[in-house]
Amino acid sequence: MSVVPAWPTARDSVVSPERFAQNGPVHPLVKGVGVDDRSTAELVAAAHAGDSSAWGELVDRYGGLVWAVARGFALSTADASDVSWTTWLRLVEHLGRLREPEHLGGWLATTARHECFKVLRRRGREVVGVDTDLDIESGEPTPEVVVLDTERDRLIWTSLGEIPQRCQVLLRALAASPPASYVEISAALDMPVGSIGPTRSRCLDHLKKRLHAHHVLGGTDQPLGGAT
Amino acid sequence: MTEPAFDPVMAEVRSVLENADPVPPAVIAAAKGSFTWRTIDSELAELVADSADSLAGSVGAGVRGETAPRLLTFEAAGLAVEVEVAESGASRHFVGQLVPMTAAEVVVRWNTGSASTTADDLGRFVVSDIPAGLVSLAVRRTTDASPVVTSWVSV
Repeated sequence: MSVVPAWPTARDSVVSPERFAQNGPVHPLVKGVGVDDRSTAELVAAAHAGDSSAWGELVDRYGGLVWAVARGFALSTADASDVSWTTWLRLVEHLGRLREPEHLGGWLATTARHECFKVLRRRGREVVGVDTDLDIESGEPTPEVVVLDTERDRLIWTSLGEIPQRCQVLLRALAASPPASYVEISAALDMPVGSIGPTRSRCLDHLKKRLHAHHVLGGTDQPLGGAT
Repeated sequence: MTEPAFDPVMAEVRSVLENADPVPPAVIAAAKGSFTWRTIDSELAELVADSADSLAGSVGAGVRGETAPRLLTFEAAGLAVEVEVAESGASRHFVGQLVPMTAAEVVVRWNTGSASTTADDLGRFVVSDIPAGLVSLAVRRTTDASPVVTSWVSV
């Protein structure tokens, strides 16, 4: 990704996802520190007033989150692109109407989830992720053929597509750049913030089971017990 | 990855996703470009009904698009915009109705262009050759009522 050269700096300066996990919900203002030190609420207000650089910064901060949600719900690249664009157009419409602009990430994650479900309904596919049991396997490995350097990476990619849909959304959001906060993940999954930590542990367990099945992880690897 | 990895598997997941599934530059560009669609003085008419949604649960997927036109209803305070969408390959044909009936200038906007027409005194309008994809309608009534834009919808 070369479009947003500030990314590596941004990522280095924010809290790593593992520290997010240890510390629980993190204030959304932590995002993007070092790139543009305006708060998210300030950027929303500036964008509403016509400041396109503020808009660009919002896209830089939350574009990865929106993409993670769309792809996590097993949308194709084309459908995920539509969902992303639609989500940002919704924000253009609602810039002056947000009740809690400081929680924009949660609003975007919720909007992206709704748009994903619209696409899934239109495709005639079962909507997963809401009111379904966490342990139901998605059965929808991501269809794209991707180019990865090593067999190990390919198997990790395959394993990611084999875990429950919620877990795909959660892990992708945590892996986004900058990583999503627990508040944003709870919006993406329509789950209480308090259950994100335990869910994350279960999702990593799901993934590790698949990695074991594909012999990516050996038998001596520690089971994930303490990651809350 | 240079980050201190609390869970090495998570670090590998991040690395694989960054290689295999980064946010496409075109997606970021489209998100940034959507700012140009900002309308300052218009009221937003939200999508309140979409026949494609209500049919999805009960009718077999894949055939409903060809059998019945899709009906979209947008509502703002004081104005509803009803649009019947007919498909013809990759283009769309709109037959619309403004409620209450009013004459107006109607513009259909999409990513790469727009088409305008007028609604007659009975609020009826027709727009042809709209490319499939995301669209929004802008309605400027001949009265001094404030202009209305609909939320974006994929057709």
